[in-house]
Amino acid sequence: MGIVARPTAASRTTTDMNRDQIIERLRALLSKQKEFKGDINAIHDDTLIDQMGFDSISILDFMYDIEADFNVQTDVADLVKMQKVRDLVDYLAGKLAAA
Amino acid sequence: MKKLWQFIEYLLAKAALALMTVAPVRFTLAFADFAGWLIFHLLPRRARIAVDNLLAARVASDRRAARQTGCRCFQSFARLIAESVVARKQINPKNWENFVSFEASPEGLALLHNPKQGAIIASAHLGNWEVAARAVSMIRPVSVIYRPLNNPWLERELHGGRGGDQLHLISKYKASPMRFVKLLAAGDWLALMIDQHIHEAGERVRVNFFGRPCWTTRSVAMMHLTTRMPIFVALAARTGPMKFKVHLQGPIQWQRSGNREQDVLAITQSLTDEIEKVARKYPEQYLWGHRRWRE
Repeated sequence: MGIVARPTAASRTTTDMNRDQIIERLRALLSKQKEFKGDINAIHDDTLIDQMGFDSISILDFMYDIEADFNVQTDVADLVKMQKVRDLVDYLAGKLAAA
Repeated sequence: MKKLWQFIEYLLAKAALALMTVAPVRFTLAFADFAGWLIFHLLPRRARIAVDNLLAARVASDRRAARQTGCRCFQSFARLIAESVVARKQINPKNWENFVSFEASPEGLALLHNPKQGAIIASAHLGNWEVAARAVSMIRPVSVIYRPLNNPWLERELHGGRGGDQLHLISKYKASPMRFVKLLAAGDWLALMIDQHIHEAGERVRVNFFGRPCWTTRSVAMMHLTTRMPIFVALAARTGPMKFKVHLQGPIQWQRSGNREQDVLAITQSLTDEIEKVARKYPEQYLWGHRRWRE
């Protein structure tokens, strides 16, 4: 019987991430942003994206980083519909599942 | 004391605007030329900024030439105000082509006439940016981000009538990136000035303009990278009395490299280069009298 290696957090690809892992990854991205003024640990599904603590254009930096980090391409028509962190996580989960 | 001075300023501006509204256009423009000349000579500190900038940018060969161009640049700014008052009265969807022509690629013109396609417009203080926005708004919806005047009476007087059916003004103090993204998604053209000094560390990028480093906004590049909406550089040069040519350069579509700051710098520098190219062609129409190159 061969040995089946379990994927570690480091080796796990974006396509098999669950919602909690997506949120964790978003928090990690935010922690790297110098201009982000919000409380990263206070972010949950119901947090309004407008009230996360972005300082002016830092929200655009965040969107850029999401695309690069998750290896997805967002659509502007979808972006404008998102209000809560839940919407963003659902959107990313859908994109990753479809990848 | 400050309020009193602001009120006097407002009364003077109101009187001048009332005069411009009833006077023949030729008189209004001649009056603006005189006012520009007078302001250049009455505000030596401001005039010196323009002269020093022209010399440092090597646009003028010596101080005498720099003073001549500097004075014409003040006249150009006074003309902008006069022309904008006239434009509000005279330019409408039926006759705008008598005043404004577009110099653009076939692709650029096609996008200009596509009401569903949003775009980001990078502009600068050259020629008449007010007329440029008004002309574009005759074709499609435009939202312009502007800096309100410090004088609240003057602000109400001047900006109260600046908008139009398809021309929307958004104070930079009431602006938010997601609002811009929504406007772009709805098909608006969103215009921003990219030749002003930016103080806030997270919102600026260092580019070269006329061979000298200066800070400018990262907003245009970041909005493009996030929304993938095309960018145009739009500058309206004055070609005659109440005649303008809008240089519409683009559309620009940038391929992401994965390095955000590298992309922002490359995009913003290329837009700044376009502005410099047109400003070199019409140096007397560029606003040299502001402190563009600051640390």
